Amino acid sequence: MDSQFNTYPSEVGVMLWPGRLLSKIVNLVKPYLLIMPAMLILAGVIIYPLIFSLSKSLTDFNLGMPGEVFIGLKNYITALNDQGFRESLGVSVLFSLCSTGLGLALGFGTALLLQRDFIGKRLLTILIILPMMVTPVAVGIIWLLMFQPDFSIINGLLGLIGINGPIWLQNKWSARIAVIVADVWQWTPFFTLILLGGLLSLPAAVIESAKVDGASGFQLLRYIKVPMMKSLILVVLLIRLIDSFKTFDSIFIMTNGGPGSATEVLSLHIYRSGLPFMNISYASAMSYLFLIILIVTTTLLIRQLRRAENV
Amino acid sequence: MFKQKRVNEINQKTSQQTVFKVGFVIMLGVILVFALFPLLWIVLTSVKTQRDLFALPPLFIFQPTLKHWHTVLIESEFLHYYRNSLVISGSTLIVVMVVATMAAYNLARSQYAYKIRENIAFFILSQRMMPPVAIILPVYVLFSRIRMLDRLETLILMNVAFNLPLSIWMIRGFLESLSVEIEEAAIVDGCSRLGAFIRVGLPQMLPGLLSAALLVFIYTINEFFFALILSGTRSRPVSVAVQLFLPTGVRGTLFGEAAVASILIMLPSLIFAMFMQRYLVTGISLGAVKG
Repeated sequence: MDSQFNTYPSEVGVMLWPGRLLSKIVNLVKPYLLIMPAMLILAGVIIYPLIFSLSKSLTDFNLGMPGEVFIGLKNYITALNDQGFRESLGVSVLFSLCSTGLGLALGFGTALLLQRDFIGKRLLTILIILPMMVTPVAVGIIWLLMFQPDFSIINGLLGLIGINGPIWLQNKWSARIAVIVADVWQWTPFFTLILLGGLLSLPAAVIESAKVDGASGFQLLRYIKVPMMKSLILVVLLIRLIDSFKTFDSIFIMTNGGPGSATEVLSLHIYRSGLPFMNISYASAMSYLFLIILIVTTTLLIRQLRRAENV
Repeated sequence: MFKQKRVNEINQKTSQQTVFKVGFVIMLGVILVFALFPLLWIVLTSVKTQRDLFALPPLFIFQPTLKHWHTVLIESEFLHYYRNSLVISGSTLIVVMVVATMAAYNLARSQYAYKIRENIAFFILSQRMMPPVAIILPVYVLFSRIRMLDRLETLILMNVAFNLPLSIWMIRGFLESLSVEIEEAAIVDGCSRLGAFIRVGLPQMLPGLLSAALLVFIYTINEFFFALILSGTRSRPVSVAVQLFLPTGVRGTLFGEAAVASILIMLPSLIFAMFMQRYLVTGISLGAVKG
């Protein structure tokens, strides 16, 4: 009885000690408990592979050959001097700028048309935004068929007005135009949708008073609507620029980067030089350069956006 | 005299308006044709006979045939791949919605330091920018080491990771727009925190959740790049299987079959887009503006 009483406190202490540590850990982790699964998935699937490829990009790791040696930044230097890499960077920039610019112009125009009320507007809006919902692979197939040399509907239609169309996907520049057309077709509705929302939420009082003051339709657009929607326009441009810089599916299906490497955007270039030859380290270095370019561009654009919002 | 002038003015104005209206209708018509003609053409292509396909000038009126549809649906394994696609998108949808709602609830409601929270939120969103091609090579190497290539689970995992950022961001936005008071009232009335959220918070943001879920489903069923590299004969989804019918593929010029396959791929997203347009617009605009 007596000895039992004596040992009781220390025993409890021993028993509690790990328990206390555990509860401390639990208290520390508890606020983050719900966010843990998401963070773990992102860390495992995105961050860990990124670190892995960073470490491999500094070696001559190759799936085809055993063993690897640390070679520092050699892969990066090779990539920067590589004609193919530079060309595909140029193709990517051209592709993104053209498709985003055309998409913005067309999308804004469409939004201005859809801004007014008319019969059947709802149905028309649904129909016009349909291309955005089409699977990118299917976009590739659709335009591949439209641009086919054997029975090209596009050349058929051009023939009706007396133009002899090129063999679209087999000439350098016409193939570039073709992939841009496909991208513009798919993403113009995105611009339309967002900018239409912006136009409809402009304060009616401002527009009305400008109209009373005798502003013409164009002046209204130039001096009132565009300035008021500047930050929204920049946001949409930012999103589309980044996304179009990553385009892969539709170009892969339509031309697979060809003819030669005329439509080989950066994603395709990395894919084509990385996987078939199993030259993982070199491709990793290129994808890091890709990532750096993306991050720098985005940061600059976001800074521009902040400035536009503050003014 | 004065009256005549006024009448002329009014006439001029109405004729201007007519010109304007005609121009408006023509422009809308051009845009509509640009948006819909490719879709119409692919449908026509899918029901043309091999001979009509190559007719010049292109045919718009012809005797339709279902031969290509029969080839794709009955004779090929297309439906098997379709099942893979649905399994992948369905599982991804469920996992993403659960994990993202948990994370978003944490970001919107937890009491820990604002700064840490904002940093975590920014980290999550910045993952949306990640180009898939930067991830795919290491992922391919790592998954091949643990023998996870060509499995549905692998594709589900990749899709979950790439859909989480936007979903968390969207759901967080919906959660922050809810009033906390009603939930707190429910807690006072004896609900647990979780119970209050499920009974009071969740129903309020159901439309928002639905639009997030819709976007996840569409993105996943459209996903091509990871599937192209990580899947093989056992786990190939339909977006990759369609390559079998490509004119550039090994089987030669199967234009009709390619058309059928592409119609079948885009069908789920198009149907969803048509019927749930309202939710979709919410989702896209919110994702865009917040993202």
